[in-house]
Amino acid sequence: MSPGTRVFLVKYGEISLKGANRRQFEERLIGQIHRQLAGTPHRVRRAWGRLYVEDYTDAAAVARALGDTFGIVSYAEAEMVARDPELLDEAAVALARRLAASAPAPTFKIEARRSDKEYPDTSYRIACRLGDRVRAALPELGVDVHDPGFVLSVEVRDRIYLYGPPSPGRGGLPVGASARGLLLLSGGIDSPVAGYLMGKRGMALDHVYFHSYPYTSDDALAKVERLAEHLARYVPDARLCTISFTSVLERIKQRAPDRLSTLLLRACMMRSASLLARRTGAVALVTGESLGQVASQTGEAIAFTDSTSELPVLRPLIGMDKEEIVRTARAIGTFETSTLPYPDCCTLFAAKHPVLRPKLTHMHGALQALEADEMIAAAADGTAPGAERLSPLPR
Amino acid sequence: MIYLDWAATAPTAPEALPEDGTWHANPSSPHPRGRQAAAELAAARVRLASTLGGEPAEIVLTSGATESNNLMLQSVLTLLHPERGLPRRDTLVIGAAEHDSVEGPATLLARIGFRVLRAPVGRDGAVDVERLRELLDERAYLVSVQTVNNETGTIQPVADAASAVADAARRSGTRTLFHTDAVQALGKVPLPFGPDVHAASFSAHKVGGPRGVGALRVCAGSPVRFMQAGGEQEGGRRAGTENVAGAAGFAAAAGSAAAMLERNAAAAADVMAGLIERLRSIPDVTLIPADREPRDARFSPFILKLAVPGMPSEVTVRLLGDRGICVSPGSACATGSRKRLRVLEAMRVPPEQAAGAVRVSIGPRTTADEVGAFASALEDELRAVTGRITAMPAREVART
Repeated sequence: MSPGTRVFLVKYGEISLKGANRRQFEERLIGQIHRQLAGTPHRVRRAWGRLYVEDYTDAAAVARALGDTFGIVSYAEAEMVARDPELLDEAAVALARRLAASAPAPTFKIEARRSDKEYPDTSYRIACRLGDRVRAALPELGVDVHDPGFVLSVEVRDRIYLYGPPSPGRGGLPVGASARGLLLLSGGIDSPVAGYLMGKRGMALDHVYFHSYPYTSDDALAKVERLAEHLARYVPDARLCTISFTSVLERIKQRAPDRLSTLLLRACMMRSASLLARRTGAVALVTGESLGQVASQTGEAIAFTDSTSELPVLRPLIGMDKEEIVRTARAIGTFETSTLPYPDCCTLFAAKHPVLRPKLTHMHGALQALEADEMIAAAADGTAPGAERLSPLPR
Repeated sequence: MIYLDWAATAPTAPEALPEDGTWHANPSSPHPRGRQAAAELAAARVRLASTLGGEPAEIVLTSGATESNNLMLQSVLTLLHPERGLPRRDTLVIGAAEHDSVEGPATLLARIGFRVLRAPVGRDGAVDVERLRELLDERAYLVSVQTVNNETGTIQPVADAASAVADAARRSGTRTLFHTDAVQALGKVPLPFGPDVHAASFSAHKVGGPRGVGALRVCAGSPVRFMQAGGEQEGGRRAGTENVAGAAGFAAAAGSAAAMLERNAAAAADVMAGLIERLRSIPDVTLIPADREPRDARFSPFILKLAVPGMPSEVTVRLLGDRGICVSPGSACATGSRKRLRVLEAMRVPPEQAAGAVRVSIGPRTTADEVGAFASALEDELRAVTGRITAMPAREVART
């Protein structure tokens, strides 16, 4: 097959329903595909409610990129044939032979679509004709229109496109379609999944990690950097902002009762992240909290930490069980990094008996008593002690 | 930079660095270069034998002590019978505070069905020979007790343990092998090898030799076969092309370390005594075990375990690392890292101490000034951190 005779057909579902915004969504999707394929030759064309990725040299890279791009319902690499019935017959038989080799049953179905009504045959007649040709050439195959072993699709447009079963895309909306958020990325299993799910709904992201050297190691930071890199497969252009939180952590240990320390730390993180969000342009914070999973994620605890954020806090995992979260983490490839043994908290600061049902007013009193506002602001500003060891925050 | 992690790896000694020699040829090759390499290897083996004690033919060169220990423990697999399965002598007895490279293969063998027993250790980390004796019966194939503990420096009663094993074997009319992991003893404390010790493991890089070389000394006449097949190297006991350059470096480094043993050990004893005196004056620091004396014959003067209860070891190691001082954590900050606490648990060290344990290990070039600087840095850092995190009294915080 000479280059240029193959093309990826990309179907997008949800965004084609979005009325006046449709064009903008399509532009975003095209932009995301370009970003995924940056550095490898390709072209993206839009026509008839589809995208066509053409003129590429590395089909595997294109397939990988389309498979990782949100907003795509399905994609398939198609063969392009000139509008000549003889050539079409020949190509259809060759493709059927290839598809039959890996089909679960020796049956097939032709699905024909004719967008260009100038073409002499109707869809129905194209399907009948190709069905006959395939059966004549490959008599071992039967037709089954209800549960075929494989489907061979034909689309007649400016040219004729022939393809086998399409690969499912990740669905959702193209990243950037739903504003920008700030993900609190911890290095655990949950937060990368939360980022993935928000990305799937079209939210562009930046990430914030709270580093507490020397209580947490630089290996923990390196692990978060790896997670951020991994998430960039799906949510490109995210910046990782690392905030030095050591002095805040020490202040909590010094001034707060042990059982409140975890919640107060989370509250300080929310505040700091809210301040940082002003600079990154985030409209919301994103966390990996799941209701009741740990002491700091009970309804009462979430009510408190929520009240300390200036921005809405989006919690896409709130109703998910741990197993569901782990399953998603495995599927998106973050699980193995998340479970590396570099903890993002230190036993020195772990409360032995954390409070489960905190009262809002009491918690706010304890937060006030920390007198940590300046520290929190300095942390968000990148001027806290220890910040000089970290990459500078976006200005 | 102050390097106090010699028990992990010693800086390479100049005499152990390979010269541009003939080592690139395969000692099994019949051509002149090959024969020359074989001669170099033979010379290294002779030198090693005189250092490690024994005949050249008793030295099996390996890739390091981990391999030596695995080779020794896994030799029990050669007794498996195709129909009867496990052999009559199906028991391995190891010390409760052995290095992972003994504990690991023992655990693996236990999973296959071999009987693995662990001889308990006292609070000083030394194997209790009487308790060991109670574990011995006619099923015992191998007993393995280290010479010096790598975490605490405890010198094990190897000679007594080996003779207890020999007695028990004689009484039950069986042949029980005695093996010792002597990695932390070589060049540091005298090797206690009498006729009852059948095998011993060594590593080159702990005495300034190159990494990736070690040895298993197996006494002639020991009824033991090994699991590494596929070549006649090392008398058929460890197949694989020999590391000639490594063997030469190992022989050179081990030779000079052994020759200097008395002088080096005396110097280390002085440095260690000074360090222990100094650490005793720091209120937040305890020694493991707490009753270790500045000059204590129970311990190698090259290794010291201390603890800062309440301060995770990793934090202490990072604080010191930032001041250019290299020590080793005794445990990980993480939950689920109980593996690293195994030895201290066997010594019944309280969990809070174990979680704050740090190992300091010195070498022949470590000075009193260096360990003094370490102790001062430790004291300063602990005071600073404690000041920042100790609860402030009298502040009224809302009760929930």
